[in-house]
Amino acid sequence: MTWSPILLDVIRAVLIFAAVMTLVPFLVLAERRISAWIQNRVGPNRVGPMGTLQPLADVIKLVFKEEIVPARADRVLYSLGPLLSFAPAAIAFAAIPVGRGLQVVDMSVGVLFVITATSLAVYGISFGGWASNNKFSLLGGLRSSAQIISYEIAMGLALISVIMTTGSVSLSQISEGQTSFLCWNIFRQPIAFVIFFTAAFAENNRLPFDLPECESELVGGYHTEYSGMKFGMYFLAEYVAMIVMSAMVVTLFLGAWSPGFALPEGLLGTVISVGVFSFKLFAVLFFYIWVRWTLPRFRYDQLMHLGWKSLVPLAMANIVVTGIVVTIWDAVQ
Amino acid sequence: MAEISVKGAVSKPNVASPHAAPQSPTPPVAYGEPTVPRKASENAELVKFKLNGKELEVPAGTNLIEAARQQGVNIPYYCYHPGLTPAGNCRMCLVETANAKKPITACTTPITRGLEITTDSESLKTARAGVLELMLVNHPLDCPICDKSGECMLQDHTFAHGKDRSRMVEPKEIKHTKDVGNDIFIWGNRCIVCTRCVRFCDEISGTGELCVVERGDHSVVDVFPEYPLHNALSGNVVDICPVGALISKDFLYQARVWFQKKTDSICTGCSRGCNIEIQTKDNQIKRLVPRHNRDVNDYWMCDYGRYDHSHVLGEARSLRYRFAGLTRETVRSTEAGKALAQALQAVAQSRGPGAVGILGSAFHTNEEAYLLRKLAEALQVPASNVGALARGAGKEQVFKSGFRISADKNPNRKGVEKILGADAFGNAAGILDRVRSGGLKALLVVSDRPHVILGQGPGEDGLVEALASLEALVVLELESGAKFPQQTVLLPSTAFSEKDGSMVNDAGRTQRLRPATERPRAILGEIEILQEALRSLGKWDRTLPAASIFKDLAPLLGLPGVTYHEVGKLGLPAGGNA
Amino acid sequence: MSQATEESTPAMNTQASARIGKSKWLFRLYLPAVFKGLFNTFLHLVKAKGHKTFTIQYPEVARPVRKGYRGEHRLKKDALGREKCVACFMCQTVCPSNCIRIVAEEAPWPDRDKRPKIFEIDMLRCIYCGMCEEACPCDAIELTEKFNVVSTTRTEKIYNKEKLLSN
Repeated sequence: MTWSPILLDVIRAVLIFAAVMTLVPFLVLAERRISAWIQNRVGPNRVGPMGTLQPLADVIKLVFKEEIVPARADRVLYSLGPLLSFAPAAIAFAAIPVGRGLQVVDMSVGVLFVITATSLAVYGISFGGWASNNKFSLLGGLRSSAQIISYEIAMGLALISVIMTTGSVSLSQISEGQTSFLCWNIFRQPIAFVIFFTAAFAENNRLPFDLPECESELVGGYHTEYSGMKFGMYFLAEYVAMIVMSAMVVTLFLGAWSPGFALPEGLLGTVISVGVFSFKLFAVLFFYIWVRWTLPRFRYDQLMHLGWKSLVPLAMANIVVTGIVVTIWDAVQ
Repeated sequence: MAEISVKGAVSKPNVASPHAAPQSPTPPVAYGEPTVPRKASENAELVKFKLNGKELEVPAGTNLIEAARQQGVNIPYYCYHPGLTPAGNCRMCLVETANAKKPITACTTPITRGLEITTDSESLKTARAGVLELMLVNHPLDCPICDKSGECMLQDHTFAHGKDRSRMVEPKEIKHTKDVGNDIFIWGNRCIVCTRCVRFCDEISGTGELCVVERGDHSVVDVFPEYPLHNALSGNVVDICPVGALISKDFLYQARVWFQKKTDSICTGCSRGCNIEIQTKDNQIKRLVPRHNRDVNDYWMCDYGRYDHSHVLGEARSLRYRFAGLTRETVRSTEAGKALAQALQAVAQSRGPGAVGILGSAFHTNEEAYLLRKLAEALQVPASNVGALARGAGKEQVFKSGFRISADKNPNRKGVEKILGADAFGNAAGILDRVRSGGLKALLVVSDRPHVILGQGPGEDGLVEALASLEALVVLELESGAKFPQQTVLLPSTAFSEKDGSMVNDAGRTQRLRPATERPRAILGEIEILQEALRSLGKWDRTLPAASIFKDLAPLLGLPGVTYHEVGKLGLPAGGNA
Repeated sequence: MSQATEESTPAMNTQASARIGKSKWLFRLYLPAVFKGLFNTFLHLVKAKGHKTFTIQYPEVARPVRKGYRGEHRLKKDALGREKCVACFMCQTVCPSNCIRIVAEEAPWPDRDKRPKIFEIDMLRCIYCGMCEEACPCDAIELTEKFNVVSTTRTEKIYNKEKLLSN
């Protein structure tokens, strides 16, 4: 029975991957419906009841569309771009506990793994922007690289203070540590939460930080030249990355799968924990969408100012303060 | 245009260069005399007169309308026509003089010393508006369907001088609408009884078919019973009718005049080379109208030339290329030229240049004939083997005004003679004889209707068999019809409205043809094929436009140093000066 | 977003803080404005405060066509059911997009001289400006209120005389 843990891992991996992939189309639909409601419109309501099959129709459309490779494009990188964008985001989900003990891999360096994996997405975007042989794509790719690298620093620094508080880089341990409501990191590290959440928007190229693909300036940014399922992959990657980031926010700051009090042991507790986690995840995703249809886009210099001159110093100050507080706390105890 | 007041410009006889202006100082015409092509009288005395207070000097006897027109003062008129005697019956050209109480008609007023004319007084404006109102009493409001609208003088003058509404409440007088002859309908309702057409038939064609019948309100132009408008100049009455009363059946409802693309060219119907304007729409010739050239056709053209344009897009038009055993719709000009040159060159090399014959025709432009000459030189064909086909003579017609339809139906006989040799037309029979006798082994025929002309040649018997026995036969034809042998190199050629080139008329005047229509299916022209043929023989550098070729051949026409542009719209007589 | 940024110009600052009437520091934190915006969009989202959906569900609910709308063309008929058009080419002349093609012929009727043999409008070229209607001396062409101008082929969009008469 040496293979059974592996089998279990595979089943968990497939389940969670499938769940995330199923979530994406409905996230797209939710995005469209919510944006419509915010703008006093109706949104997609033709395909299926209440437009629920619209994502399916979109996927079918994308699959059957012609894939165009621009003349004099770098064919290898051009095909590699969408894959490199999608795969890391999907892999990152492996380390996130979606319920009590429900995790593909419980690794001791979970936080680092997720941060590393999501950072890899920048390669996909830069490759796509470079390989398209298009000035808009190239500018989009460049902006994206600069933006992700800038905000990665603020994000990492924010995380350090969280890690200092929890004393662990394992996501399962961080989750366990937030069982009680008052122990949620959002209360213990509110400034880190704001910095992390802001940086998460930037990492995901979401409004108000969607400069890499801002339609009014760069046509479509790095994916201007992409069509068919290659474009679909970028699209998918964007939403998967959004889910991963939301899951990270939930896990790190919003008490993970904990409803705020101790759950009963056994299967029931696990099921409730998954439900709680999902609820929190959806709430964060909704906030993502809500922000997108509320705030206008930052100017590029504003973006860089915010990242380097505000978030990074603030996060550093936060580390210092946290360090002092943690030291004093430990000494007191 | 020469300023009238400039002394010398008119007193020196015939100095105005012929391509300078279509209407140089107008002719003093004594009232009632038959009109002839006129030039400013050589010894007319210059007299001073006043036009709207401005002192001017013109030759005595100049028509007031013309004198004013040259000063930029347009006196409106209907019945006046520079090619006809003035009648003074439309009352539109009323002007005031200092020494008459009532206004006078400008068209019947020759300039005399001390005349003081006013053309823009308030009372004249009222008078013109009144004249127009009376003309419009019975004129139907059918401009939308009238073929004249757009070039109608009644429209123009009503717009400029008339009132914007009618006070007429009585029903309009209904007059006849009928077919009066060759190509003409009379729309009686539209007639304003200016009698231009009547005077044309009296003075120009001299046939007198048209007359004004009835009186007063009922008067209208008509023909006598059993004497329809049958003369070879009848089409001109449609052109000179200031309204839409005389309408051409040929042009009826064909196109609105403002859509027409107009190209100045010449008629190739006979050796006169009347100056015409080709009017096309959607690449189809809609009508041909005469263009004023004092030295050739004055304001007129004959019906034979006028209606002879259907062949341009006719069924018989040859549009295919046949050589190297293939019939094709499009080829590159290099291929066609090479096919032509190789066929002749092969025979010239194997049998000697004396076995090659070249037959042009009198329908070539000078440029095409010149290229044939160059081809003959390149193949070293002896002069006796270079000929030109001509069409048989027709009937010469001379009209009362002196307008002449030439008996010679070959438009460029003179030019071809000057370029291919004076005896080119005489050689043709000999060449055909040698074809029949087997003396010639290769023949190039470039003609618009070779099947007709070859059939008309002297003793055509045996010619068809003889052509079949030739080693090489190259035919450039406009219309297919003849059954040429299978190995014939057949190439299309272009019609008169597609050519760019020059021709010499029977008076030795060099005039230009301008392309008015695009060649159907963008076929190649003779000018391209022959240049490519010469190029493949190594005797030509690159394909040139007609203008460049003309530069080389101008000395042959007696016009050394004259450029294509200088030939102008009105052409140049031999010697280059009037 | 979390702290004051420095790119705002002084002029904008005075103006904006005067308008907002709050401390400069709080304004430059942006977060109050962000939350105000979020609250506003949330009101739209839940359709509170009188917000309502404006979308008209087109195929089921057609929007009323305003007076003077310029849709597809129609050739009018006279009392005898013949086309009113006399083929005067005025519409073709005035047409700025050159989409009208007319070939005239003699009318077979005693009371009329000319009629269109071919009357075609290339609806793909047409810009629906209505100049043809204005130019028509016989009131024979008009623009209808038909706006559903869908076809599946290009040739269908070249309307001939019959189509225009029955439009």
